[in-house]
Amino acid sequence: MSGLVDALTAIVGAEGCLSRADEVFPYECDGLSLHAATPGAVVFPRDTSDVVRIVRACAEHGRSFVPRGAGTGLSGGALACDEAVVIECSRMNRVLEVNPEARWARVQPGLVNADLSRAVATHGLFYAPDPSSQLACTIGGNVAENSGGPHTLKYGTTTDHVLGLELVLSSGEVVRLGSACGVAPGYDLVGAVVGSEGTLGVVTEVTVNLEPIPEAIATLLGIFGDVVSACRAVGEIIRSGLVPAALEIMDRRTIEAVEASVYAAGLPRDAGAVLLIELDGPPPALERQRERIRAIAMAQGASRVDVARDADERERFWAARKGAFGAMGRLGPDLYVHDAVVPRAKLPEVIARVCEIGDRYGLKLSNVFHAGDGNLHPNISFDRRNPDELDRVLAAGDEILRTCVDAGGVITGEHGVGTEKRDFMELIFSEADFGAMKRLRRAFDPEQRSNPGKIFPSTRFCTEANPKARGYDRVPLREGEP
Amino acid sequence: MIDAAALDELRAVAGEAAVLEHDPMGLDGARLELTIAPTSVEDLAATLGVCASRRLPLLVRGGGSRLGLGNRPRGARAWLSTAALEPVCEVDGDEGVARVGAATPAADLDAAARGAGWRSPFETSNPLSTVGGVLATAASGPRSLGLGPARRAALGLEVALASGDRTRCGSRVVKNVTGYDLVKLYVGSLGTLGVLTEAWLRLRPKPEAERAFAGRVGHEGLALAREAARRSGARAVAIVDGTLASAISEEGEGDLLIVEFAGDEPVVDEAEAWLRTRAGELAEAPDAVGRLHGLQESPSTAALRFRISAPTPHLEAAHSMLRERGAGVITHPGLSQTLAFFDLESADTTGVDAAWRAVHAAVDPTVGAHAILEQAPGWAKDGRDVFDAPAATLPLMRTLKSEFDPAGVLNPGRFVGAL
Ligand SMILES: Cc1cc2nc3c(=O)[nH]c(=O)nc-3n(C[C@H](O)[C@H](O)[C@@H](O)COP(=O)(O)OP(=O)(O)OC[C@H]3O[C@@H](n4cnc5c(N)ncnc54)[C@H](O)[C@@H]3O)c2cc1C
Ligand SMILES: Cc1cc2nc3c(=O)[nH]c(=O)nc-3n(C[C@H](O)[C@H](O)[C@H](O)COP(=O)(O)OP(=O)(O)OC[C@H]3O[C@@H](n4cnc5c(N)ncnc54)[C@H](O)[C@@H]3O)c2cc1C
Repeated sequence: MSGLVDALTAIVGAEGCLSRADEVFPYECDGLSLHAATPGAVVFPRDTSDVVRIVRACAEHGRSFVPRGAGTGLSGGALACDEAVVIECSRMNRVLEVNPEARWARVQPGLVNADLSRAVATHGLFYAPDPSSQLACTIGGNVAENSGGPHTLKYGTTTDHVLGLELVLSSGEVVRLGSACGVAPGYDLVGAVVGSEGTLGVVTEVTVNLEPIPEAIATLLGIFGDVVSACRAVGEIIRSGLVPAALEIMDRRTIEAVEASVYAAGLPRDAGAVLLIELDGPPPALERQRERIRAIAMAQGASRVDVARDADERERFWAARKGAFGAMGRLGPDLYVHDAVVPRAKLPEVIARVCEIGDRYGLKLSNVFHAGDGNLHPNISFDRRNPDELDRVLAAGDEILRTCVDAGGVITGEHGVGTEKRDFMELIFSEADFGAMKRLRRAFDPEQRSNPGKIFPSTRFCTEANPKARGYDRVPLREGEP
Repeated sequence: MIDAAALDELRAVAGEAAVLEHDPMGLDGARLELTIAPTSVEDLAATLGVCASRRLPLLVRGGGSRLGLGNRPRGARAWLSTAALEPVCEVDGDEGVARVGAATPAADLDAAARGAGWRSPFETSNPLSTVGGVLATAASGPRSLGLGPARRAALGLEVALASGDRTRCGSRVVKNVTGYDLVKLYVGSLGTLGVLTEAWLRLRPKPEAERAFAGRVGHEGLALAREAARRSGARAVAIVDGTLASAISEEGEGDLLIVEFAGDEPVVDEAEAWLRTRAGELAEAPDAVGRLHGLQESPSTAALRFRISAPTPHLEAAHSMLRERGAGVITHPGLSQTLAFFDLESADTTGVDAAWRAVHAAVDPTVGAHAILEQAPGWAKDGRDVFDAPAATLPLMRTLKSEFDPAGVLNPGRFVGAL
């Protein structure tokens, strides 16, 4: 390793390369802290040419590499399997160019999601994909995971907003894919790279399209006695053909945690669930949509539907929604955030089953999720130092995923497969399906040196990442945790 | 001649009736003397496996409405047709999604979607078009401004590969990151990576109101069209140059502006009111987009048709330059697209070269613009890539093609860089 570290240091300087155990420790895991692996080194490139040289140095030393953004991923995607070199993109965080007339921006991958919308707001524009982690996560991470967010119901996920990419292949070759007008001749390679979890190369530049800030916004809060009725209301809204900007559900346990935290927004603590509905567009349309939605919610058992009175109240509702994961810290030292999707009409029966699974395993399970997309996030609060509880968390998670697949769903809607779910991939795909995916992988990365050990079912890589294989005692606690 | 042993093997896997020898049919210089039309997806996949192992190149055929797109095919002597596959079409009205067979006519999908209170995500301008064909070409018409691109509509696909494998990617749910997004890769791949056999599609909500307008406008037409395309509710916006316009609009002079709005009644009302203040002379014209389809898709409009993509601000310059150089021009500002039509005076390359020169002068690759020659007689394609793909992008695409189709049997020669 030391020869490689020397080579990396020569590229990025001593301050841009970490290799001691205590230095690389914070990069052992991402937001899924149950999985961990020690990086061979962590490097901080400043530009594309640094990335090229780093990737080439890795090739010369026969070592893999892992692109990394902010490490907020929830599926172990940024884990350095096989002692890979972590290529940390935080120094590449600039907005390179904005074209307000054509409505696009060209940015570096380390740019924080929320900073992009902030940078283009003066032009009356915004970047639509808004993961709840948007104050920290990066555009590069978003591209790799094809991230969504509450407003993807109307605006689509990251893939619907990326026009072009610059990518450094594991050979060190730089390719530019797509174009600023969103159409380029040949295969849709941009579409193939978005969502590929860093396994096809390092994204070093992203051209995204920007949306005009909506003329008007209406935010509603439907108050329900239970989460199943809230899900039924979502099904009815979808069936009616209405396309709100967002349809998000928080259940009772989530509301309690949020209201006891700094994100408190005055949500009714006695509600079984709230449905946060956002509409945007021209004012005359909003009024009618608001009434139609209110009628649907009331018919499905809402006790009332409140309307955010002003921008402040709207922001409070959203801070509560987006801060919900953080607020869960009150329920236990650890949080397992699940992510699966079912057809929306199946939400009521699946959510009931998910709650039943949580109860049966004696777990603190709460739900805060992108209901309009059928994208569930059952969250389990626990304490990893209790091996029996951890066992139950993992077993419940397994059952939840199988329940979603049985309902016609999939095992991840936005967090990705990473190391977390690669052994569930066979619930969805056949050998032949994996064969097709491997063809794509080989075309970009024939030696599988870009982010090995992800997406595809387990191989020799990363057995250490699995908490079952590692032994619970070795699962590291994050800095600052009890 | 295709050798007898190959024919026997094809008949064994696809069934006697599915393998039809016929007089040679021409397509862009290829002579096709065999049509294989399997009746099941299993048979189709097995047929592909046989063709790959025997290195028998195929041209994939859906409804046959758009076979002319692409470079000259290389060596193909047989059609592989989806026409005999079952036209599956199941609409899930609760979800607003549909499971559709590749051979299902796009028009049938539209009818089924309407029956369930939804709308198809695709235009149905040609009764022959199949869902497989629409997805394979990913080339859409004027209404894709409102309907969205084909790549957004496709949620999941079943694809038969040249290896003979039947594969799936994506699924029926509307949000999904489980594994690579191969759906995006196959959509628009022109049948060169695999044969699409089934799709899960996202339907569009039924609009409460739909209203179209058309009328002649002055030189301000382009700017007006751009503004109209950015209004809420805009579903199709095009500006047709005066000369071409005469074919579909009897009255007046000047460019023809076509605007169609769809959506909630108040949105459409507001959009119409805006349009009336800006272009009072526009009349309601419910069939305007239908007539536009007829004009821009008809082979009789012109011998050569180019599709130019450019960021909107550059589109207007391209439109004017092409106009000055004698092309018929239709610009869709909301789609960042201009169609340029050229007639040929003689069957030699002089006119074709001149047309390419005019197009290249109007297209600035440094701003992300490019052009493809979508329609042309076979001989006019000789010696060039009709997709005009930049050389730098080709090596990766070639590698990809050879990974998916190592024997080169799927539409060989057709795609970018004669892949
Ligand atoms: C140049 C062009 C312009 C267009 N303009 C418009 C428009 O203005 N409005 C509009 O509504 N639509 C438009 N379309 C879309 C058009 O409706 C579809 O392309 C459709 O007609 C093709 O369907 P088809 O079944 O007739 O395909 P075919 O004509 O049979 O085949 C077209 C191409 O797709 C391939 N293909 C067909 N089926 C499959 C399959 N199952 N798997 C893999 N490959 C397959 C073929 O090999 C061929 O290369 C346009 C398409 C093209 C190519
Ligand atoms: C509290 C919280 C809320 C969240 N809410 C949402 C949500 O609403 N929606 C959602 O979709 N996700 C959500 N996430 C998950 C996570 O934030 C997203 O997956 C995000 O896109 C990860 O970005 P990152 O910069 O942190 O990437 P990382 O975690 O560092 O990496 C994620 C993946 O991206 C790859 N990658 C990073 N940079 C590059 C690059 N330059 N080139 C190639 N590959 C790269 C990595 O290799 C890895 O596979 C949430 C996470 C948390 C902790």
